[in-house]
Amino acid sequence: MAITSSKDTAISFSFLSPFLLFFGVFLIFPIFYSFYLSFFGSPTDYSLANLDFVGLSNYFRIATDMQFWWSLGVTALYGLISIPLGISAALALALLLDNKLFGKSFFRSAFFLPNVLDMLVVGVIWTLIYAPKFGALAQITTWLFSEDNFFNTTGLLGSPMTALLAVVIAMVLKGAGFGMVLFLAALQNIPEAVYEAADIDGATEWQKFKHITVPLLRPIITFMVITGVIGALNAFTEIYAMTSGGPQVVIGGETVGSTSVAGYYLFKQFDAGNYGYAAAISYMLLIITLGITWLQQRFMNRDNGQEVKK
Amino acid sequence: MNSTQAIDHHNKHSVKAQRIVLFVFLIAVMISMSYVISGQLFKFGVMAFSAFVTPEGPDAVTEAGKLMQSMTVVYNGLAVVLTIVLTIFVVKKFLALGQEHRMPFIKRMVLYLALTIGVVVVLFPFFWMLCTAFKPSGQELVISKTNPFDIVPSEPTLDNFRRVLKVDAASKSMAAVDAIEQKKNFGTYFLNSLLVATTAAFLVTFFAAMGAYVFSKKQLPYKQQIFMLLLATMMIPGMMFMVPQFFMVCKMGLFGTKWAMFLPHLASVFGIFMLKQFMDTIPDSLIEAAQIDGASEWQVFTVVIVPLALPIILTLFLLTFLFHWSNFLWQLIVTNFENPLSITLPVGLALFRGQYTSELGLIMSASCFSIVPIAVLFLFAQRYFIEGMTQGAVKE
Amino acid sequence: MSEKKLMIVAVIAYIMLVFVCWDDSIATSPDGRQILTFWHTYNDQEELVLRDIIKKWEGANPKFTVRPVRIPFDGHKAKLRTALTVGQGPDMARVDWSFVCELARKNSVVDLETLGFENIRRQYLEAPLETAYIDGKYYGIPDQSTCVAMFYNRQMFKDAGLLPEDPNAPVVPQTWEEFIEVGKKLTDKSKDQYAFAMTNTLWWNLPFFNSYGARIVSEDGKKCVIDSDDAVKALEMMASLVSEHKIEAGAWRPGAISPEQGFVNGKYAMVFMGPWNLAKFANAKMDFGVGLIPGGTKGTSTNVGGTDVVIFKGTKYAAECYDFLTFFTSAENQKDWCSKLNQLPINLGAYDLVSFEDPHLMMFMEQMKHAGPNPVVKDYSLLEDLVNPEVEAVLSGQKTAREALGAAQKKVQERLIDF
Repeated sequence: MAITSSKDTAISFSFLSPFLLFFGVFLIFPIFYSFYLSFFGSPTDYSLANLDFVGLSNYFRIATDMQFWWSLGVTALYGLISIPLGISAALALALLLDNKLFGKSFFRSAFFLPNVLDMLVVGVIWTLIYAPKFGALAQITTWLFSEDNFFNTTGLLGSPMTALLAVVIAMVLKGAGFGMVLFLAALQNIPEAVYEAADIDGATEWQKFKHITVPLLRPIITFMVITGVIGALNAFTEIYAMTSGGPQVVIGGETVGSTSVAGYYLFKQFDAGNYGYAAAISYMLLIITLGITWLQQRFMNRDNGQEVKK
Repeated sequence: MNSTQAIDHHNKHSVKAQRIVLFVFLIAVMISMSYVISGQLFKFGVMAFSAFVTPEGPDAVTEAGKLMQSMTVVYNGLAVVLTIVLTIFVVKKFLALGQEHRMPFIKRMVLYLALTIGVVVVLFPFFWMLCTAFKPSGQELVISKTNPFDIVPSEPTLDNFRRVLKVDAASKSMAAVDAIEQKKNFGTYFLNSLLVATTAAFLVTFFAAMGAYVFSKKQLPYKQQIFMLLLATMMIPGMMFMVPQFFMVCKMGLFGTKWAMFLPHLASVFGIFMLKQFMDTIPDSLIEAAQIDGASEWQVFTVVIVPLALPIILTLFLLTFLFHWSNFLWQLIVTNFENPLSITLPVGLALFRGQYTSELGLIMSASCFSIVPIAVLFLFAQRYFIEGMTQGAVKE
Repeated sequence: MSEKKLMIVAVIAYIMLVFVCWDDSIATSPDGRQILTFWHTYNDQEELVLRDIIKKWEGANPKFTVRPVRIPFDGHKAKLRTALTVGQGPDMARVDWSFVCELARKNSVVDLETLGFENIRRQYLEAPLETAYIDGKYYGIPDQSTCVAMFYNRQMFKDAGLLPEDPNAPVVPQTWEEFIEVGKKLTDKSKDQYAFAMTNTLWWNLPFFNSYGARIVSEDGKKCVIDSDDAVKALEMMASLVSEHKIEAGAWRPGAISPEQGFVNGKYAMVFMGPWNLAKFANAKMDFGVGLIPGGTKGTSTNVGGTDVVIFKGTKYAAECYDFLTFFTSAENQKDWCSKLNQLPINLGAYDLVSFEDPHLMMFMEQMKHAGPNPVVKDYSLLEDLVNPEVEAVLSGQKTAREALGAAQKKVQERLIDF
């Protein structure tokens, strides 16, 4: 028994080794190096050799950095809107296109296609669609109503109330096809027999969806939630291309950007050459996300435990 | 008894009337959509045709515009004919159906219309990009005053494409300057990027598939913990790795080589995660069956897992290819500009853009070229990962 | 079977691709002469003229050869930063004016005073030269300079009856007060037609601030003075165009289309724009003109854009590089450069030698004489990031000009100057 398991482990390692090799060489060092950098101030020249050690002061600075905490809030909002919206759009498309339908392949390809466009190009194009006075949206609303409508004067990206939502919509429409492909592939792994058995038991469509489809798709949903969280934390290109963090709102005398997500704020720090502070921010983000994950896991496990006891 | 029958009868009538009203409404929506969409598509075809046949010259734009004008009848006519044919087809089909089949038919129509609207919204950026690529400089956003839905240029030009391919006069004289300059062209950049992106995509997918197989189906001490650790590294934004990775690449003496373009990005945690989550949905029984048949580990992987996960593997391949196809910032900093043979497409396209020329048409035509290999790849892969999904091994 | 064939074709294609692309060595040694590498961001036409000038210089300096290497303007800062990190920078480079201060403060470019710049610096236009003046020393030579002026749509002025009868009289109003008066006549909201459109970034707003004589950063670069009374006045006037007089189209909002697009479409009568768009607008068959930017309390003024050339400390041949760069920007070569490429000269000596057929370019030459100082700070993009949101808060009516500029001053001082 012990021999087989060690043999199993050896096989596992040999399967993993190419990945681990590149991970070890090209990712482990940068991870530690950027952690190391987070204890240093901004470099005084380009060589990165003359850094002055500042201890934890980068982390202390984060604590009082209003702009950072605001951007964290915007990021949370971005995630809370985009993740459910993205998953439901992808799932809805997958379920619709899993049926017998004339031209199914065409629709599947068409919905997946926007994924191959560069994020920057998509951002620019959607900005032009939303743009007041020139965008497609403004022209249609002007044609329907009058010149003096919201889409023509301010535009979706011009108002702090709608800008984030407008970005999310553009991104969901771009990304829905990707989720759809994952769901469609996973739907094929659900044996037909399970549905047939449910039919015999007289289950409704909704019951079948809730008790068979969703549980079997759970790994994919987990994947989409986690990549959604990562996407929200790293969101940068779409903000850069569409709003540059604006429109601004004044809250308690402080001017803050209504779409200034953490990834964008981090990029600004990085771009300004504040490597130390940028590194501290990214580790802070890591700690916060891991903390939330841990809490959520604890609660989930407790819930599961209770269910099992019942 | 009589009265209930009457009500029944009445209900039936009103239901029928409702159905007819609904159907007429849907037909109206369909006709307008079909006319607008097919009109735009045919106009695009005519536009591209006239842009191609008009010879180069100072008045090429007006010439092409005139040619298009003379073919207005063609594209409008084609759109009208197509719409009429479609309408007759649908109405005929509807009338041929019995009363009880009509409601499902209407539902199906709604579904198709909704999907079509979805496709139009999703693919609009593509179409807009193609149209803008044909617009002459300075008129990218000049809008049609009569019809806001009309985005196809009425005075097309191929100038943007020519400039991207560097066939304008200035570049020709540049090429005469010296041998190095001659290599600075779209073709070199394109081939370089093709090599970098295919190599990287192949290796990433291969490594990630093997890794994901371990995490999903094999035993490994501390498997869960290692996996969590890998996931945690994904939370750190990639830009934090850029400077240290650049250091390492230079220390290894790889600066300016093609290795430098992709080596640091070969370990894709995202890829492992995506494939692992999908492999989790593959029933273990399939693997056990193969093992009973005496398959080795490698055979289980290549014969059972890879074919089943092929759609997702291809998706990962496509996404990785795309990543390397447009990875501007990293490729910029590892490019040795003194050697044009090390320049890749995203960097090369940035070279075309001057300081003040944010010319939309030029950028869009460059984007058109850069999506060509992706489109080809997509067409090939589509057979496996779009259609392939309908014939999963489990469902037989 | 067809799948197998497809695979074989793919593999063969890939092997051929490797074969074609593998050899990435290229012969780079030029007959034993010492190479001076010059990273630039010029376009094709400019590079041709540059090569002519290089040939002339090499004729006088037979031991050296200048190799021009083009890098993309988008990303030239990132490229230089990373190359300098590992010591692979060029001998000299052309960089955006806003980048010189960072390079100088990070101790990577040569102080030109040590090479005798004192003797010749007076031949350059002052405003562009000031962008390379850091902590009392000059670190770069301007090689190309631009500014913005006021473009106007002649047709719209004609329709509103605002074209003066005398063809030589200026069409664009001379002061901001007149500008507002004229603006009201040009604005017709029912036709979606506006007198003016502006983008909100600091560089584009500098003409407003400069025409009131308001500096962003004090002359010695030690203090942010954006909260001065003059600056408040300038910003209040800007905001009044939007809120009180309603002659501005809202192009400063995030997600709005740049003013130039509205100008081309005939929706905006006046916009700030640089000379780089002259050809484009002519291409779009517009009837437009160029005038001076209206004056505030300190008369007409504008901003400075463009690039400087710098010499890196890593080079062994600083004197030769300096010799080449001064040759490149000398009055005579500037004359060639500017008349061939239709660009504004930066050498005062070339001002008298160059004359353009295009009256618009002449107007730009006039405007350039009134260019105000640009703020020279270590990190210009951070300055923009700190100031722009505050200005937007004023334009959208959420803050008064004094509050916003006070907050901006504090932030810039804390984050950028004392940091």
